[in-house]
Amino acid sequence: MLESLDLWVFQILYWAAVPVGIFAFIHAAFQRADAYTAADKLTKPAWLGITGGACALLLLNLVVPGSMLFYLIGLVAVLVYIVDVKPAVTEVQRGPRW
Amino acid sequence: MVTSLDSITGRLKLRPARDVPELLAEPVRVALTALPDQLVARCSVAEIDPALADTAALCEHYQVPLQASANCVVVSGKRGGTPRWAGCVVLATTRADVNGVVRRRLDVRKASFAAQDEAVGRTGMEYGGITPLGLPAGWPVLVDAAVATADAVVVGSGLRRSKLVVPGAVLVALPGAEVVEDLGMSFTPPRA
Repeated sequence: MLESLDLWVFQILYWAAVPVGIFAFIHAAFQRADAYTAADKLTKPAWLGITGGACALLLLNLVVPGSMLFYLIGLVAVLVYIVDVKPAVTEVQRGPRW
Repeated sequence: MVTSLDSITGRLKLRPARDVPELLAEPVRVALTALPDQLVARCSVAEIDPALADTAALCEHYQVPLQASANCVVVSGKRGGTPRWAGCVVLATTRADVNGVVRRRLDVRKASFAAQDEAVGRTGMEYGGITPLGLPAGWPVLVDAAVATADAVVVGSGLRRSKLVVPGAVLVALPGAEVVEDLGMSFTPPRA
């Protein structure tokens, strides 16, 4: 039981990445298109493609064994969106803080 | 740029703007009356389905080319604790360079789109119908050069249920108007 603990940890990481990716894609879909330009990011269709493609890779990893490289690519793309693009796009739509 | 009015207004049913003031929001009506007569005479208004007031839906349903439609976005930033506002008018095929040209013109550290309730509250216009005509006094109205030279562009009327069709010259004649090169950033050609 204990020797397979690392496998369990990986399984959890694999599964947990999928909702995170879906969240990123949905978030990207709900932003106004001109906010991406205003925040000096790639266009909205580009980010929808990136996060959507990343979701596909993350899902692929669950069904196809040994596609861990795709998992990593997908995860990096999703995390770049969440830590870099999302805050910038949110801020540019929020107006100044009082 | 020689374009016939028909080719840009698609299926919009145009009427002279001064004949149908009820299709204009109050501040827009006031702004129009302040303009010289020969400019007002070149302004038309068309009633539309309020559900189709957003640019993409409007252009598709009424067959208005995107490059004949201009968006007006309200941008704000803060300098020394005081907010600054501006209206930016760009063709629908481009997007306002908020954190470049606009930020430098407003002389603020960071510029952003005004929140929807702020934009609506301060302009007295309906969201989706915000237009450069009749913005609050003191706001710069930044007009992209491509809009300024257009024979006619479709802009908001302050209301969702109608659109104005005006020559670029009308927007340039507005109080506070400034023609700005490269205000609109093109997004159709590939861009890294």
